[in-house]
Amino acid sequence: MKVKSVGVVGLGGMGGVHIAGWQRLGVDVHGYDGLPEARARARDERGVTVHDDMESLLGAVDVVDVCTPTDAHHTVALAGIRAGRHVICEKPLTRTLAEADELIAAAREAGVQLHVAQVVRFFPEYAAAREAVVAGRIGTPAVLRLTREGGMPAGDRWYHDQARSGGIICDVMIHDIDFARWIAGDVVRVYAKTLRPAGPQGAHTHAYAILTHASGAISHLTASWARLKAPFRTSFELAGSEGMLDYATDQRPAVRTAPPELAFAGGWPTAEDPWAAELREFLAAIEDGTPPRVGAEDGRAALEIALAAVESAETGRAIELPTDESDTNLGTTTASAEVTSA
Amino acid sequence: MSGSPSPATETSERPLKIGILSFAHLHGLSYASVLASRPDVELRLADENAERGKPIADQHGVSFTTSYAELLEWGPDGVVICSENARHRVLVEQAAAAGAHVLCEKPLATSLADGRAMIEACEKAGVSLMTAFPVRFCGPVVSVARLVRDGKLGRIHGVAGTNPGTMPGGWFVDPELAGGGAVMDHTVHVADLLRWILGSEAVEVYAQVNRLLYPDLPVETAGTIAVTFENGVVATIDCSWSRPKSYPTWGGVTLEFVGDDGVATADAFAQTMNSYYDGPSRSGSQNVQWLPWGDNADALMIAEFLAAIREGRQPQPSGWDGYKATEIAFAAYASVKAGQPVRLPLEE
Repeated sequence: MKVKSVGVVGLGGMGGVHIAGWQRLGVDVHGYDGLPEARARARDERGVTVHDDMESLLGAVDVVDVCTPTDAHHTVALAGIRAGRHVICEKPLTRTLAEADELIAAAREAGVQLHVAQVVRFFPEYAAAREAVVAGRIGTPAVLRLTREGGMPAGDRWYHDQARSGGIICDVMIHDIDFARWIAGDVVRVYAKTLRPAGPQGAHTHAYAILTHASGAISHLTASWARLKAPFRTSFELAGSEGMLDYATDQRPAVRTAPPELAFAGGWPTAEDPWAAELREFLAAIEDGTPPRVGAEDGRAALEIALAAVESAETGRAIELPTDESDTNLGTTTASAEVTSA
Repeated sequence: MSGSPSPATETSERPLKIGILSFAHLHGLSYASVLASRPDVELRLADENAERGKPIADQHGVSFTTSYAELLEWGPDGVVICSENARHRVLVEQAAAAGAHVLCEKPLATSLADGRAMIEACEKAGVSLMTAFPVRFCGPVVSVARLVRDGKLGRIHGVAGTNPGTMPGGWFVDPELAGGGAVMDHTVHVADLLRWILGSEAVEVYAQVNRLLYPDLPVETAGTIAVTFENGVVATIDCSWSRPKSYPTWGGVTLEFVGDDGVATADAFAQTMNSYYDGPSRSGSQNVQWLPWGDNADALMIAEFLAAIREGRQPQPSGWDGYKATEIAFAAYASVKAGQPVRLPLEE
């Protein structure tokens, strides 16, 4: 099918990023948000065709793109699926595992595609690292270190509410959880600590996790909202039996400016930004059936690990994850298949 | 040089007699260079392996013996012990009995019982025991330690620590002599820095290890450890031998402190410049290295050992510091076995 129009639900920060991505891809963008002022802003500032209710939006679009707060993903995505629309959902796929399972089953039943926007796989440095690993540049992955550190989300937003967002682990660390799985395969044990209560709701703003993969590889993850008044940074270090890759966004600035906030004033420093790349790949999947590099099952797996990390942080225990023995080589086998098709 | 003595207290005094016992640990090479360069030190070396020790003595033009007893009969004021980890105890006990103050290479011992016996032997003989944790003397670490302890970050909640390195080979991968693998080798530096900077003791340790790097070795080659301290701070330690031989330096030590009011990272060995070398006419093999320009932390550590001897005080870090750092490594092994966190202090 040719996708002519997409309906973005949730017209906040992430919705804005997706709208820009769709517009670059030449897709007609519709939008809905429960807040009338968010609808007015999307219409006036971004030229989005806004709808006053979900029904009207669902009737006008081929694809539903869910950019709401996490706790609304399930309801909105399910409405899209039941209306026979393909659905793209921001990460984390849902707030609970049962919701994720229900969405995946519903999409299968309805014969529509369900995609999860684990965007880190589309960041060129992370994609290049994955290709290098698949090409054998590190041998068998053994020890991974992944960090993601920024300042506090502004205001008293839903991010701060553990019940709504799942906290810093489900909102921030899930990016690196998905990447760790992409590099080193399925995870069988999780230990995590959440720290530094701060902000309007006293939510934890810093977390560490140690993941043990089925292969025996170990991943150390850091997610933080504690990096005050400093640029957001991420880093990865992937050590394996034959070599190592390491990178940090602040290691060798490709664009250096004073004041520092001008660094992105000239636009994203690659031809396509990761969000547009991600949406283009989902679009291709829907139009031509080309499998994207990340599937809803990956989103579910990342969520399962994230929720185990939350449980570990709450109980002080290491949490064992159920393993499917046929999946133990997932990391390497799916690796080659996906990269050649990407 | 950073290790020079302070003239006011030391020029009028006789040189200190210092011996190095064994060069099994390569750090002994650096300690020998530091000690040989000091005008206030008379240096002698001993190593049961003459092939290993004699060339070092010849290089510095100092006396050499294959007999530790012979060196101790000389009556040294202090000795530096760089034997294999499992052989620290016997040499520390001999040195203490001979009345020599001791600077012992890390990790202090391969069991809590050995560590305790070494501390008691030195106490009984009235000599001091220092553990060789030179990273306490690295400029970037000292600087961040000060800002943390001065409260500039507010209350500390978390610390991510790393001490990755290249796989050292030799006796370091012999479980009998080393007492373990990467966990034994590379946990204690960061563990010591955490105890020292946080001023708190570990109460719980969780660890995971694997042997995916160098799978033919009989010890773990990678590990990641989480340590909860009595004051609530959670710290993690990466002790993996994850650095390939092609890495531009041997490894490193980093600490990222996360507090209420800010974040501060110390990279102990980042004071380097990039070096690219192709040999004469640029036709040799290509060599990329990070060349260090920071203070010589070994020299500063040895200056503390010597100053403490002259001043008749306990040098820092002490034998007890060495003991408590190894306890965190032993707890890591216990956690790996249990698959769950374990509580400290451990039973001896």
